[in-house]
Amino acid sequence: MILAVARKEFTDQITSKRFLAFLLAIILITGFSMYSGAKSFKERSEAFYTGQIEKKPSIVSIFNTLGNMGISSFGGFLGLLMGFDLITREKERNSLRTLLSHPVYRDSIINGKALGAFAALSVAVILTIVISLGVIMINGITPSMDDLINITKFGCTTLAYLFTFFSIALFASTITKDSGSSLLIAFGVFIILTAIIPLLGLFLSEAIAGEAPPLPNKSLDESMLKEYRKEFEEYWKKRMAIMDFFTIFSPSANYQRIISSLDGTKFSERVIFEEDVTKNIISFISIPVIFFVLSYIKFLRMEI
Amino acid sequence: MIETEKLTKIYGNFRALDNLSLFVEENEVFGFLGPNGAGKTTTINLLMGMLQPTSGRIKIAGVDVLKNPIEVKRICGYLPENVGFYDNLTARQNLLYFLEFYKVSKNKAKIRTDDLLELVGLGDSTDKKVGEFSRGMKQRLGMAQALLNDPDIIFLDEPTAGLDPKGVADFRELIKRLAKDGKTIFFSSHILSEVKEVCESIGIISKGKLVVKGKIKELLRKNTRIIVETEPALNESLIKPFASKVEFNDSKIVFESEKDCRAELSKILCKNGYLIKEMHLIESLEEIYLKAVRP
Repeated sequence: MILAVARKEFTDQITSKRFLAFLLAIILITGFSMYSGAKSFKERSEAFYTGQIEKKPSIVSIFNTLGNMGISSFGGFLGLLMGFDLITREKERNSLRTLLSHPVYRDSIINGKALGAFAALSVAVILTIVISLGVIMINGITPSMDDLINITKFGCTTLAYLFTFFSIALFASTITKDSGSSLLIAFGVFIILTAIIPLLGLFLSEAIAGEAPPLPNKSLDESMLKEYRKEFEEYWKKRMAIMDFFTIFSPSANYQRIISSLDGTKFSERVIFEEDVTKNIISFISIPVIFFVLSYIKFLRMEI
Repeated sequence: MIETEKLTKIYGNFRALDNLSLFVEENEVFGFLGPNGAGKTTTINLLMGMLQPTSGRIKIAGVDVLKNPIEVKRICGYLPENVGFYDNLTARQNLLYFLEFYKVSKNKAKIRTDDLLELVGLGDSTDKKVGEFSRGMKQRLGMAQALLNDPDIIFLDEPTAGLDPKGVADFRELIKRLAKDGKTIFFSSHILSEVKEVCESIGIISKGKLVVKGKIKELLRKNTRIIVETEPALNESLIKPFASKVEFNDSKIVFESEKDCRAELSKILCKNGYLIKEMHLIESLEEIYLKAVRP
């Protein structure tokens, strides 16, 4: 029963105009970001071989550009658009009642729908990765086995990220009566999680930690400089701890942090940052699970 | 075949169904009547196991609906009011999708869907997308999907809504054919003439309560009224032995009777030298209905 629902959902998704339009947008962004990422990788490789930089650049860093540029925003939208009317559309056209008059369990319906959408998202991610690999190989960059493993990890993380927004949209679809309200709620949650929470973290970290310690005016000797550095590091650690508290609730921040950790580089250009991404991974997995479980419970109890 | 006992459904403070006890026999065509919001659709949804009752018990063909709703759906067919489909799929694809929930081989499923589409008059539209269907066509397709599993019991909720006169006539023929095949049919409708034509028994529901239940013939017999006009004007005492309630309407007399007493009455009138200008029976389901649902 689940497979019958999943098969239909998958076909509906991959043949829908909105999925194809967003997929096209993501593919274009992929092509552009992979091309610029490959160019930058080649420049850094040259710099490494001529001894200008110490660390050998990683191919996965090219994928990070893709993740930060396209997937964190467009991919999130794709997830939202695939889920926001999954249940409301069935209610609006009365097909849910027709479907439920046949011997199918409600949990098979919601699980099948989620499975079908997950398969469609997988197609989008696999296609993106295949195109990305094509672009970098055309540019003469051949990934090693380790790179391929990291690229697979990148793909899985991206899939989980897209599924996060899908599950948020699915939840909105189960608690509302019409698709318009569902889209509004799903989009609102998307804005809160991707923009408002990280910004709130930034503002509050500044408000709570106060101003950065001022640089002494008088000329610095070695010990004073050491003292100042220590004081500054402590200040930053405090600020980052506050920001971290907020960013773990943001799937986009978690996604960026996790994919940045794949090539061993630190997230963004910040000097000090927590490199352990365990809590980000836990939060990253928990958010879609929580939203999916809530959708599941609501759907099972829904009066048709 | 269909049995409910003190079935109650409450939404918040609203009692949609109030202690409904009902019994529909096997092979019976049962008409379920009632004004809008009386609880007809709620009842059907409860019988199909699509809603959980607040209290009460439901058994269909011996199966407890609350304990085993899936088994009930295997033996029942349901045409919901305003039936909905997947607009992006064709009529055949829609039926094939629903058939996936029954253990039917692909070949048999294809034959079954084509036969049913032919049966409901959609043989020419099997590969047309449902999004292009008119309301009447969707209703016909709804009937086809209700018959997918060759059910023993069929629930039809306002089945002729949106059908043109030919569609209504085709539908009545189909109901009669299904009844002849031994199916038990439970259908709700507002159209009393339709109910009178196809049903053997009826139930009238008002404000969630079953107010009338019985065989149509018996109900009509109990509510028989006879209208008489004679020359000279009829003496009321002559009809007293037959009438329970007498009304005068200009030169006519309308009286309620427990049975059709026209033959006996005409004999008496002739014997007494009356010329019968008019004498006929009023068997109105509408009156039974209106009397039952009147606040």
